[in-house]
Amino acid sequence: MVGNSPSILVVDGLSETTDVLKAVFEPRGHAVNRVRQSQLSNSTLTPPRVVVWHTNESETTPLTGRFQGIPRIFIGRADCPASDGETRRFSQPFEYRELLGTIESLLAKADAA
Amino acid sequence: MPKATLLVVQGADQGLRFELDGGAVTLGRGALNPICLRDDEVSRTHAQIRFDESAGGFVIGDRQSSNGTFVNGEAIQTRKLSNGDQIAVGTTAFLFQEAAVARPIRAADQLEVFVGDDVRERSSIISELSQEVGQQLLRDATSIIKASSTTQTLANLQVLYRITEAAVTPTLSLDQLLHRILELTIEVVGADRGCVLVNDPRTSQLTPQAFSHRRGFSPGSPMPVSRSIVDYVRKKGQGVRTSDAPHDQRFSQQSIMQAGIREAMCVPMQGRYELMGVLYLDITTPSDQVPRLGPEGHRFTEETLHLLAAIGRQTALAVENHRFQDAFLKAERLAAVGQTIAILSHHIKNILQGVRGGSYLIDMGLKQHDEDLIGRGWKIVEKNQDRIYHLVMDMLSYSAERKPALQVANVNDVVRDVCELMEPHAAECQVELTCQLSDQVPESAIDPEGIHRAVLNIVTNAIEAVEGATGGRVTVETSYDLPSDELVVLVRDNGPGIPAAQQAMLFNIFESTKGSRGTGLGLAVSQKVIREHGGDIFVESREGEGATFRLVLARLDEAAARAYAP
Repeated sequence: MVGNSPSILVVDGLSETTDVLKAVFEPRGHAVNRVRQSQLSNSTLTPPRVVVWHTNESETTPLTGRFQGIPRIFIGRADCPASDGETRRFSQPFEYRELLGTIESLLAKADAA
Repeated sequence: MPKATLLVVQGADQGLRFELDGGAVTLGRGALNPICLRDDEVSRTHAQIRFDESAGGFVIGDRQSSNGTFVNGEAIQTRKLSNGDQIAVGTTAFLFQEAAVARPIRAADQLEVFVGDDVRERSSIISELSQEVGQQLLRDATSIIKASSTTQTLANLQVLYRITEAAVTPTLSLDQLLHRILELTIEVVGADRGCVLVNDPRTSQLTPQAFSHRRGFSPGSPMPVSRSIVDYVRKKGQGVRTSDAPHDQRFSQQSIMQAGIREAMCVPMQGRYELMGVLYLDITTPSDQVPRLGPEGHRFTEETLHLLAAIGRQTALAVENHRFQDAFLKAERLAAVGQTIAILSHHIKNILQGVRGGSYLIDMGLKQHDEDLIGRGWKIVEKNQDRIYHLVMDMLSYSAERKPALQVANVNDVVRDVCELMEPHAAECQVELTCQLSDQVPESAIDPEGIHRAVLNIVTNAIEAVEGATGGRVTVETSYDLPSDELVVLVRDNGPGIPAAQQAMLFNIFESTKGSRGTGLGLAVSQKVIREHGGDIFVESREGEGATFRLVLARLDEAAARAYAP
């Protein structure tokens, strides 16, 4: 169960991604939370400002409806939604510098909106 | 030292392959047997196989087993094994395969293919036979029996049966199979020698693939093979018989004359789709020394040509099947290699991603002179070092190279080590890890390193199954079952449980339900290690009610461990 409202929500994937995001963004006042996709339906989560969603070869296409309108970053599978105004796509192995830069720009965009 | 393999073709261990290097090897249910079987119908030490110089081959001997040892369905005490023999013990069946040994003399060195005059030589062929006639022999044995002597017909049918049997035996290499077919054919038709020329699909040339001669016959110089006869058979798709070779223009060449060929037969080996080669037999023995001459005063009769045509067809199908089988195996191997590379690349990529995360934080910490950030980065790097270590160790454990190093130890000590090692990780995941060790557990000959890995993998899985859940608990227990003389390690969690459909695939290699976190190696390794100890892993789980993994090991005493030591 995820009860608080994070700035950045990490769904699935390696815990290292969350660890790095926490180390970088929490000192700047952005809460970073991690949740499993299987737990999403039971969560009382309020919408985050950015979603970082790890996809995996064995998993089905991520449930994106719940976060409609929220900037999303998909990491992993090549057939996940293509990058557009609100969606970015990364495939592993990626550079953290690029991921963090993308999150920063999406957060700034969300702040401005 | 000669080599052979035993392939388990039936039973719980189906698919396992055991190498025999000539030394004495025991097989049985006991964990100390080099060939350890998961079969309750098999005695602890059931039988022994070794290479016997005096017998000239591998010999199997029953070791006073309760249910007996069988070779090709016959109960035996000792028996020399032949390639393709089926050995049955309990409910397990093996296929015995001798390693293909390169023949000291190549078929090509035993043959001399020559080109003779072409046009007029057909006059010397006293009989031709369409290949359909040979196939008819296979289809309609009754009509043939009526038309010929029963004894010879039965011998013919018997050889066809034996050839079919050899052809479907998956153990023989193509060379071995063709050689075997030649031996059987020469024996039944009374030829002196024979050869098989196989069509090379790359060059479309017929190349010598097998040569054989009857027992007691000294082949001397290379067997002359008439190119014109071969080409004729190949072109017309018809079998030919000549019983007057010395006056046959085709055989007018010096080499044939010197070879003293009196009779010859050649039939096409017609496969399903193409000609696979030809089968060629001859006789050089003078007619007054040939027993059982036919009504025309020849050894090779119309009936033998019929038979040879049928054998040619059988041989062609066998060659074709071998090629299909080879292609299929190659494709399977390539697919397996590709899948393994893809899966390992995926895991290595994940680890690399983790290392990059840690390195990024360290770099950032160094630039900002932030020791906390460096510490957090280093922690991530270390975690991924561990992941590489475990991935490599699991791969090594799963590989056939690693053999269990047995020593007398207490399973409790190993389980305690695992729990102590996993305690910090469990705490980090907010999981309560409890270790309950029974003081009744006796010492046993185990491979502590292997058991450590087996238990560690299962405990790691259990912790991950309950990670993040409220009140997540993992309990590790040991016990000793006196009646069965078995050691038991229980790993129990109160996680979401394992769906029944997934339970059947749990121990399959590269089968993981943990997404990017799982390698699909852990449980496969655990199962392999426990089975190497003559035990097994059992799973009990229902969805929503957690899971229990029960690792059962046969207790082995010190003497047994010493006996097993290399």
